Amino acid sequence: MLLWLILGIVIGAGLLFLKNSSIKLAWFDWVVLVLAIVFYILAIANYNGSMEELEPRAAMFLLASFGIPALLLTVIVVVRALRGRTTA
Amino acid sequence: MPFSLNRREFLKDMGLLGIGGAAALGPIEALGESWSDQAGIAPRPPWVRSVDKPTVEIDWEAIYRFDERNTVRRGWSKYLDEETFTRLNTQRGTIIYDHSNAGKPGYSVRDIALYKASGIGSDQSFLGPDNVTTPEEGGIPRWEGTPEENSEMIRAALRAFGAATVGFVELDENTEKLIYATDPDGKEVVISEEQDVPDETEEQRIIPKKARWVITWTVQMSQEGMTRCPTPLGAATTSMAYARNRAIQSRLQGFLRGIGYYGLGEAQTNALGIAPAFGVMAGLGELSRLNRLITPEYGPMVRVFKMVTNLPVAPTKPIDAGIFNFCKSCMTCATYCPSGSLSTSPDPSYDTQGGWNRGGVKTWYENALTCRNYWAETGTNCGICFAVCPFSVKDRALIHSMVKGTIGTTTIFNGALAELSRNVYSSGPMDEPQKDPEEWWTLDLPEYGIDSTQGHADA
Ligand code: SF4
Ligand code: SF4
Repeated sequence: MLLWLILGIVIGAGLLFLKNSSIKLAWFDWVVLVLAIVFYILAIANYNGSMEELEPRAAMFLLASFGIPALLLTVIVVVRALRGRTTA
Repeated sequence: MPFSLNRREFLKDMGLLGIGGAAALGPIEALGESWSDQAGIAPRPPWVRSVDKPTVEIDWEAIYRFDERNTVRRGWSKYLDEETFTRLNTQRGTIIYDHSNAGKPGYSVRDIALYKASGIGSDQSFLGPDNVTTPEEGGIPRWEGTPEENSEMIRAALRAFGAATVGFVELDENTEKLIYATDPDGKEVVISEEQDVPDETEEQRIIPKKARWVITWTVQMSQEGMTRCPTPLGAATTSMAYARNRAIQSRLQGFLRGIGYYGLGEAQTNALGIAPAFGVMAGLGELSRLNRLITPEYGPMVRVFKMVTNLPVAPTKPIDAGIFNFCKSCMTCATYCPSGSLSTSPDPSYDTQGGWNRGGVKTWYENALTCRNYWAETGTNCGICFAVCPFSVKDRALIHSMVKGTIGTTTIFNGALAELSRNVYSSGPMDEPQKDPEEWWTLDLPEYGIDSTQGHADA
């Protein structure tokens, strides 16, 4: 429960910061960002759940399976945001 | 009831989102009536669909009331020459001590003691205990409810007594054939038009024809126990499930008596009728390559039980959760079976393996004889096939709902998912425990080693 509360606060704060900061994201970036967040949540939830199930091998596999796409999607958004800044 | 989602339901619903994309890619099974639409029934996910006929094909004309003593369980000696039987039977009784002396993991003195002690429990009988006051004796009217109300009531009572999932079958000219003709102890099971009151004599057990309903339920086994199969430590959970059920059965018989009806139970383990068949007809699960029941909630990690009653209940329908279809692509159990007793044919067939199979069902018939002979090498009832099945998972990780939702919706990913499961979950050695038996003693497991909230909405 606490995990979800902390995660909700972190995601909410992050999105608020992005919305109010000078970083301007296109609609496409927002879609990719939301997708990345979904993957992060799946990675954390499955890792956590699998560890509770006493399945560490499955936990690592699922963390990588959902976590790596999440990281790649985040990199896409960050790179595009940085490019936007330099070209602006 | 107010509409609310607890954490687990929320996570499960989130998981189902994942099937949307997957479903778009493959042949989608027609979405039918959900199992949960049936009166008096606990909620199940939408991909557990109610169907009119079980997913396994049944030729009712070829089905007849079977003599339980023809199963290898009871009739092992029938299928072996005398010398082999005597040797294996003796070996089965002593080999756990030989393995123990050889220092085999899972065969320590405490593992053996746990196994032997887990089977201790209450008695069971066909007619049940008579020490619960009937309404007549108490001077109050007996319970009267609609079949739906009765189903709901029995489900709640059985859950309170320790059962996991509950379903109901109405006896007709077909389903009646699933009651054994002869019980394991040799007593004839008679379905009598003449007799209104159930009875038990030296030779017979009488079920009045008026008792038209069968209550069917599952009792959970422990995944953490079963993954230590085929050792005595691993087999303890099977013994425990049977022992727990003896009490559950007696309590249900007492409850039915207390509301003015009767329940006719198993006179001993596996008596009365064919448990997986009743489980399939009641929609508790689907038949599988194991030729046993696989439930959507616990996979094969259950034992299945039944009771005939004169309390009218609303029957529940068979289900299609994609399980039988999944078995066509997955052969994990057959691959891991150390005695090669399970079929490796992709498709089910009507061809039986021996006199222990009654036939009439298009399934994967097992070689129960080689299986039983292998038990003489472990000194237990093995259980490796149950332990490695991809459906034998807990439900804490979101992935299980995503995968089961996908399997229940489309068949296209079945092969890949089976392969993935083999690599991620059952990557242990072929004829040894999947998990370390010694580690089991250090775990902080829940009561009976089962999560009794698994498969249920209300914690
Ligand atoms: S119990 Fe063991 S020997 Fe029998 S079918 Fe299963 S894996 Fe094979
Ligand atoms: S291991 Fe695979 S083939 Fe065997 S019963 Fe389980 S799902 Fe079916």
